[in-house]
Amino acid sequence: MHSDLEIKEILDVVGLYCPTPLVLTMEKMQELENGDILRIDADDPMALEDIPSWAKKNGHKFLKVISNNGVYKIYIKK
Amino acid sequence: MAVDIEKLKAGGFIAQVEKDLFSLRVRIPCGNVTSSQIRLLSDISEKYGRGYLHITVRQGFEIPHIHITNIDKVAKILEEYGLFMGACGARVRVVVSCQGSLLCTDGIEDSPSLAKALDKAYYGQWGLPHKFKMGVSGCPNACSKPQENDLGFVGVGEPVLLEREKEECTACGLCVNICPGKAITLVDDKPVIDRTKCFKDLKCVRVCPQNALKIKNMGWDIYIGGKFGKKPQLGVILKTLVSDDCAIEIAGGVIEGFKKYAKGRERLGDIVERLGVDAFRS
Repeated sequence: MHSDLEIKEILDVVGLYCPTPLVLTMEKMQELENGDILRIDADDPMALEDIPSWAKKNGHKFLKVISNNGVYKIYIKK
Repeated sequence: MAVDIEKLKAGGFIAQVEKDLFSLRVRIPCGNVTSSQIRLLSDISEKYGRGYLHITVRQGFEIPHIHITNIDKVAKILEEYGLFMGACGARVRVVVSCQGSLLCTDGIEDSPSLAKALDKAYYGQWGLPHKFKMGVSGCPNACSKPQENDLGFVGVGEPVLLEREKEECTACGLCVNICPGKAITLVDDKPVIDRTKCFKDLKCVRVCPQNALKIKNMGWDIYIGGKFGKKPQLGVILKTLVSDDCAIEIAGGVIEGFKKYAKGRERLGDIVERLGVDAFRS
């Protein structure tokens, strides 16, 4: 599922802690167009709570998360 | 000097090092104090104490340096504002609690409401072998440290993926990655929950972007025999996923068991260690 996602942009927040990953995600999403997919690379586990719940409340679609060596690749669609 | 000895015995007045001075313990169930109450405490400390308050470990206040001749007067003023003395000695102590699910985003159960019900049912009860403390936490984060109490209550819930919700699940992997117990794996692109690893914190349900994971049931996990002091130990699980009413009833049963099984001045944790948890499971 979602194997052929066309990512518009990648936001690298590895090394940053709550709430910075969420704030940067919010900013970045404002720049994107409806339908665009953003990939956020984060290593703070809080990002897995903050970002999806923010996306849910604000009408964005959370697509998936893939974890690899402690880094989460989080995909959301505007 | 008009000192009500019975009132003194009821507790709340802690003798200080200095002669005739007492630290006055005010009970604040769940640690919620109104602005007018805290203003009153400040005023009393300035008028009858030395202008400061001590915050107790069990979410209350003590007003230090109250002279023995002022105790009755101060107690009366407090009562007018709905404040009462805290218990000392071999009694059921004030119930501590976190803020619970009505306020905390991690909360599962309404901990202050159970704490108040327990407080109402058992607070101040005496004739016990030793002190008896209860603590309530709204979720397994256990911020109010319920496991260090004689009886601890932890709000928990079990997640489930119902057959009819299976189509909703997009196999996004969020529940798998967020689960603190690593209890979830994707089998044929659907989450499968290992109940033996599940912390029952419902994190997976809360984050599920599709609302596919649902709450199967909620309730209280009860821990028994926790204590601090010179030989600290954490409570062990007594019952899981019980309702509010059931939790209150179990607390009553445990207090009766505490009286029945104690050999002299003994904490509940020592009895549990001696007889095992099963003695309290009937």
